[in-house]
Amino acid sequence: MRPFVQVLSQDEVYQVHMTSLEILEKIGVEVPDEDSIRYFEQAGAIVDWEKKIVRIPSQLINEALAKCSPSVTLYNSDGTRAMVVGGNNVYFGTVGFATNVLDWRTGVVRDATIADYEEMLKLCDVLDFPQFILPPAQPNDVPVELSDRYQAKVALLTTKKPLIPQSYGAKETRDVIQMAAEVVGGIDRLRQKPNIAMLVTCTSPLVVRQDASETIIETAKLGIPLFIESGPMSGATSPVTLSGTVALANAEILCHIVLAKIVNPTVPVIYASWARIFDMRFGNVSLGCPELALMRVATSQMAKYYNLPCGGGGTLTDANSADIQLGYEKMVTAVVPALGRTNMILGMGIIGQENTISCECLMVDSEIARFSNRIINGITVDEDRLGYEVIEEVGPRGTTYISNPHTKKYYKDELLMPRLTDRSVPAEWFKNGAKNATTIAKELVEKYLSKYQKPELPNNIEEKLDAIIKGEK
Amino acid sequence: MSILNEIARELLNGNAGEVEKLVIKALADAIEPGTILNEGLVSGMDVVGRQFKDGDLFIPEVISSAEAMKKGLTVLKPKLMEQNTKQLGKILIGTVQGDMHDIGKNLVSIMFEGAGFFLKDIGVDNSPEKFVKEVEEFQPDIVGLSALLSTTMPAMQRTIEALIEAGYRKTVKIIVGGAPVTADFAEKIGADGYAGDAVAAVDLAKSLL
Repeated sequence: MRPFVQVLSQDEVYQVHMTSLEILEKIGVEVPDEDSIRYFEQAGAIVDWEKKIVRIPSQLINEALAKCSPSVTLYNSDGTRAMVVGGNNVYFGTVGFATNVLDWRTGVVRDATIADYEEMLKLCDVLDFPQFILPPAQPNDVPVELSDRYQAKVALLTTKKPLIPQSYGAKETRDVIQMAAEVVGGIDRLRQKPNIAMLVTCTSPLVVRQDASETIIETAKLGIPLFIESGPMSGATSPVTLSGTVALANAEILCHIVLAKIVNPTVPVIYASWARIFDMRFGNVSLGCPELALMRVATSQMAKYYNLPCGGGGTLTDANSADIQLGYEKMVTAVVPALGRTNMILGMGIIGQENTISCECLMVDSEIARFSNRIINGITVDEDRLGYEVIEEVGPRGTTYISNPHTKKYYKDELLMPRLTDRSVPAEWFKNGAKNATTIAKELVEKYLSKYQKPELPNNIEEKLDAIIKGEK
Repeated sequence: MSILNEIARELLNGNAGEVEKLVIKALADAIEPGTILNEGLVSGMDVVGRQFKDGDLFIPEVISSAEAMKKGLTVLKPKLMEQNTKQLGKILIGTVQGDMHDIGKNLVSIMFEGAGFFLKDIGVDNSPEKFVKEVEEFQPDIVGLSALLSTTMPAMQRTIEALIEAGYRKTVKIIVGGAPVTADFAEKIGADGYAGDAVAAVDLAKSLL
């Protein structure tokens, strides 16, 4: 058995679903974009043009869901299969648009630059985890209005791993998709083997933002996958109750999916959520909280109820330094969503909610992802592994397990090999310099960065991408 | 327990209805409105502020207390005006250009109103020109600028510059706040103060007037 966790019973899933339907049918969503309102109206939604409120009957939701696929396959930019997003598969990735960096060389927190962003992506490319990239930083040394395209450009040039880019509007969406198409060999190839899924975020409560509308419409028209996420904050932009937050988030994600499927019935969609809380002591969002873990499992259950691939925030912390708080928050918000079989878990490499990127914390996160991966792979039970023969061979008071061929045969599969984790006896640990996890992480950052190799890309690709950014193409 | 202590206690517990009743009774008992304000309402709010700072009281309770304060003040205000008791001051508050975030600003607004300030909240995404126009019309003592994105913080500087250009800088105190904002940044852009949370914002505003 592969272990998994659920937080909602079937009945409870259904109750959440019914609440979401009622929200969409009776309360509706605000849709500032008139093109989107027209799409909704033509499909049968009830529209108040004056207030820009769209009410969506259940039938439209059922129709949209019937057109969805239970999995979306994303590829590396070289066309190799990277992730089958769906079912019980779990992948870890980065997130954030952070504007700060915790410099791993100096320990200083400062503005994040393109160079910091690129270095982080190099480390991501070399490591096993993360398996996909959502731009971790919004570098401060590029013009703000072009940042989405610079983030995409540097990511496409630095790593071949799948990307979840953002875009600020219709033209920007077309530019980013065109950039990805240049890298993989054309729009048809991109459609067939997409290495991107365009990011769409919802504004809670119940708003389909202008740029979200534009991104959905342009992406759906081109048939490129959409990664649609809603992240209300319990107590601030949704009810403080976790079930209320899940019902609201669910409604918001569903209405964005409905729009996407009206524009193009075949566009691949991934259902994602950042449902989190508003902390009532600090007056700030909290991401490293146990409630995030619970709600991530719940929103993933809702996605699975609809037979949709799912994702969302996880592996997150509110800590502003690489310390013990980071450790426990990141671990619980990684392993619990993993057990909930959230297909794409976004959060590696970022700390202080989503304010600061850190290479050493990315190393810690990759170890956390490996631990989580080991947990969800569970315990394999079969005749040979039950080991009756080897138990008989070693016998009572026997000491030869360590040298037994059975051990050599299975140990690498059964036991996670520590990479960052230190397990020395105390005397050895002191002798080797009493290094804590952060120190070891920094050593590993240096080691892995030195192994980075630029991916093979088409000739003159950088010039082509620059031309798109400058509007020359 | 004296009626003033009762007012403070009911305010601490966030019972707006009780506070209103007790303030009316205190006035009927011929207690001075200024005394009811300071020794009943304000003294209750001071305890709220302290307990929030200590982590013993949280935002939802602070909000209920601020609303109880507001209800008490609604009864007291006409009496205070009659006696020409100095009004606490006028505050104009808004989120700067390009920024749609308002949860923090809304909390601060509730606290300012609860403290007895006359408040105008101009919402989100306000250009420097909009701030100038509103300052001209509303004539506040304090202008509060809020931003949640580090990318919209420069708009705070532009807003201050616009107020300088329009000749209003000397007539207002400018305070700034929001998650990425710091005291250093406030100083750099020439603001008069920075506060890290809603309770501190009220203290700051009072100290500037």
